Amino acid sequence: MNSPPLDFDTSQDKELQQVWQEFACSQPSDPAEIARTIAHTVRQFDRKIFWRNFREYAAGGVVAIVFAGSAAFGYERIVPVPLIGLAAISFVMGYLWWKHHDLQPLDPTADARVYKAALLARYDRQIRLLRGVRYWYFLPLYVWILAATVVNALHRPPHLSPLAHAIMVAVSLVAVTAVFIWLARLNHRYASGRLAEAKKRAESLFFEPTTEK
Amino acid sequence: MTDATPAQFEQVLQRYISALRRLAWSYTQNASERDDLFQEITIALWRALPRFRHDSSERTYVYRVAHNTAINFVTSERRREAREYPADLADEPAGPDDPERNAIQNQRSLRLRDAVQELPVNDRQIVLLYLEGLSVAEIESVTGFSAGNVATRLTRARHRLAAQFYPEGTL
Repeated sequence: MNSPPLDFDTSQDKELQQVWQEFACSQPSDPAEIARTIAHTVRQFDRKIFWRNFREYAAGGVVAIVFAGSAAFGYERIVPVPLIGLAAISFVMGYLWWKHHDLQPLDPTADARVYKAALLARYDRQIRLLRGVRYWYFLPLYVWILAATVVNALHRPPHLSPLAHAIMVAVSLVAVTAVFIWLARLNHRYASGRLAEAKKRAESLFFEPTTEK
Repeated sequence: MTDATPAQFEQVLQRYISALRRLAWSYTQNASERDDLFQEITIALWRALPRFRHDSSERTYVYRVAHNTAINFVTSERRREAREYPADLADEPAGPDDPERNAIQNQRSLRLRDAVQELPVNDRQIVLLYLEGLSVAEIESVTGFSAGNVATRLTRARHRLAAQFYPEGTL
């Protein structure tokens, strides 16, 4: 950092710097007050994140325990629905953990060029994750719901004729499949689509055309 | 994660608060967005200060954190949604007590801010650092661009800035 401040030695340059540096915004600027506010905000934020993560993992754990219990005491031996559910939940949680366990937050202390590259790489990673959501999230859950539907199909209620029962099962299967396809498309179009747009927007900011206006 | 001590943070903020306010002001015209950005910058600084190892100057460290946070802010989704709101007309700089001088200074500041905001993000970052009085090496360290690239971009940006700030005659 030994080079002198940039000086193009024009009065206009000096004036621009002066105008800029003399400017002070009208907001209250008591550093002590800001420090107290920031300390409080950061503590609140960290606490909120901790409890959010705790709730998510706890909910996943409870569901896994319920499925494990059902599988152990086995109310359905022909199609092991609880086991399939346990496998689906475990797969989804395991996949998410695997994808995020080595994910580092963006380092704001890096130089701007490195930071921008890391920001775009993070967009790519999130887009890939969201585009694959149909395989690592919807598909396992679909298999589980499908298994549950098949189990229901095995037990025909006495008041239903075989034909009516078959129609009901077919309608259920089609409805479940349609809902999953709709959810997967919705996710593709909106979640990953919005991220892709955000990435494009970021790229257009970082890689401006070289020609001058 | 270790955070800064309030005293350490307060000292740094004392030195850079005006520059950080100006930086936030140059990235957005909307008052509430600008306050959000300033808060995000201060939070990022709070978290980053304990990792400061003096391998760069304090001010390049602070400007790196501030500009990177601003970049994250301008590319974020919620910011795009908020951008629909018009510039806040009450969002004016404070000046000296003399009302006439105050009005002139405010007008000049706003004109310069508008000219800075017109620049592409990469050039804007370089110009902001230049206007704050950083050296080429410091600008290099904050932006990651080579000295040659900084000089080229700065020359181009200065001309654009001057053309808007001095419509009657450029550099």
